[in-house]
Amino acid sequence: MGPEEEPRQSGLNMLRVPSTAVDLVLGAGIFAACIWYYLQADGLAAPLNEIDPGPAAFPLLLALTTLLSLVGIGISAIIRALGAGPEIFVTIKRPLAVLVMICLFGAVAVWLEDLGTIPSILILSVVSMLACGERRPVHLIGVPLALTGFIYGVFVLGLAVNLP
Amino acid sequence: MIENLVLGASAFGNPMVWLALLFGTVFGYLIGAVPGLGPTLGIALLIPFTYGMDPIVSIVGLVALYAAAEYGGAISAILINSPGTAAAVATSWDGYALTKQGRAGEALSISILSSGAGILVASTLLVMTAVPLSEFALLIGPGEYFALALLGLSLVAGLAGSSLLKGTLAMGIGLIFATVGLDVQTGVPRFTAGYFELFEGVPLVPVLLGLYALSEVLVMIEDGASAKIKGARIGGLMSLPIQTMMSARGAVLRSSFLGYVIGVIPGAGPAIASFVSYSVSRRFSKTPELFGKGSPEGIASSEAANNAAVAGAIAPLLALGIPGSATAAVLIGAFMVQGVTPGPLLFTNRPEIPYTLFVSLWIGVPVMVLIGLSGARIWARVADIPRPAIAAIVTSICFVGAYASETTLFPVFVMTAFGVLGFLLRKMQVPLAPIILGLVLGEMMETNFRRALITARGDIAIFYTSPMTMILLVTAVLVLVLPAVSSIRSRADKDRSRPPEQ
Repeated sequence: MGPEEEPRQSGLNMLRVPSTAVDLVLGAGIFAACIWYYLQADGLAAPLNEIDPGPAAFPLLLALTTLLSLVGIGISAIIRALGAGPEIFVTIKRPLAVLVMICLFGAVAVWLEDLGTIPSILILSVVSMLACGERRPVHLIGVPLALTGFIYGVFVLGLAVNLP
Repeated sequence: MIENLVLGASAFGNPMVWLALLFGTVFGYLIGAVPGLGPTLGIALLIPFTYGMDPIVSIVGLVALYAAAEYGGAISAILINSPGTAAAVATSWDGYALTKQGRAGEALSISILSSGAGILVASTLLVMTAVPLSEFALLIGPGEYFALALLGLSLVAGLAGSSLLKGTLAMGIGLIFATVGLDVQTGVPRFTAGYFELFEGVPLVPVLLGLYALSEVLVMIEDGASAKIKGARIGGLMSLPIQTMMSARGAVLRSSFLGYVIGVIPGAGPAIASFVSYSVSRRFSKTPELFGKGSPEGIASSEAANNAAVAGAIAPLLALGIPGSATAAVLIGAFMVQGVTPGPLLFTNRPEIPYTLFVSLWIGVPVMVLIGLSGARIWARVADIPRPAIAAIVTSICFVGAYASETTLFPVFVMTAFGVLGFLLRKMQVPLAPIILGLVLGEMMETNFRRALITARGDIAIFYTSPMTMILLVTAVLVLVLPAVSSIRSRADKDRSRPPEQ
């Protein structure tokens, strides 16, 4: 492929999910986290000083406000679903590439110290370029090498950061 | 004040400060010129490079980046009709029209000179207003301070997204994360789930990198490699359009003033400043028919205003310690990394920091204009950098930057988790700016909330008996609710005007 050619797109094309479902599913996840937060806040010890509202007061207020807004988001999603208006979709383009990248982020986060910084940067940069649709060999080799050199130069030699 | 300004100017005796100014400006242009990136992501990415630096050096570099990135957005707006930042959208209306007429060089020169003028005027206003504002902040009590922070947060949440509920949710998420760690007053660990790494709270730098930079990488992957756009020919760059600038001087001055005032208001920021100034200039112009078709006044108004708003956003940040936008919140994060806590006491405890920042804005103007004009051809080509390469650069800096912040894996986990969370919240159309603001302001809000209740011996009447607290709290509620009410009304009007189905 010549330098002027467009890099190709890869992976599945698009995932379309009704925005109602997205709001309900993600909202339910955040709701569960908020309930945990509320219970933790409620379990905090009361302060010895009677006039101090204590470490739980502000978090309880926050938990209630956030839970209320989540209930509101849920109700409005249900109203939207039952209404006669046109369905609104949330689209995730190239979902396979996005998923692969999220998994790679997790894997590098876990094994960064075992892998070492330089191999990790090389892997991350090559895979992120591939996931973006880059297929030109010169770019796939040149950018990660230059980037690794730059990061090593700045962080290790310049800023004396102790990288694994 | 003169003494302190001299103190600020003396910092420029250090060559590293000049180097930071130059580097910040160049990096700002690069970040601003790439559509989709912007000053918030730029500052977040640059924070890891400032570890171990002198606070003054790093702050001068980051503020230079902030200003240059706002201008950088105009370059791709003028040359390829693809604004690098939201604040440059109004610039593209006339800038690209001039490019199509073969006057790209003139458009770029007008935009950069107006940007410089905007910063110059606004930084003078900043020097005049920041100190009185900080003195005022020292006079108000904890109840008022809590209400003021809540108002700032509500303004950002209300203006950041289309939904009141999602804005409130974002605000809540940010504040909830701010409560994680040891309670400041009692020392009780809260919401740490047993991780001792969380005792000092959720680390700010990895959160910034995750929410703004790593989630942006996932968006880039979604979009795939974007098409390469051929840049326009740029002629007559160094021939300064003096006559045009002289005829637009009224618009530049007015827009700079407006931009500063709008920049001070939390949540408003450079984009709103440029739109408002653009429409005001059209109203006052002798040639309003040229607006949108290549009016130099249009470019000058938009650019002067959005750059003036940068200085405006710095005023509440320095004087009150309350950031008015996501970029300002990220900047506060950068200050904190350096052990600098913005707020009213900064002017008395460490005057060299705010005054060096003021002087750097003035000195930065000629530097920015020179670099901008001489490198215009390069900046114009920046928008052509392939997206996959940018994704690789951002990803790598995120991981290394997060690790380097504490030289442990924990911040890398935090950054990754917030990257995925940021991506999901974007899909849910939850604005990210209130999360960062909540995280930054949370501790200060809680401390003042509790302090207010303690001084009132637990009586919540403290929040409605003080007129100032009451006004601030009511305004905070109104700015959240009013946009939602008007949106519901307009939707209802639309439904009513729709013809009935047969």
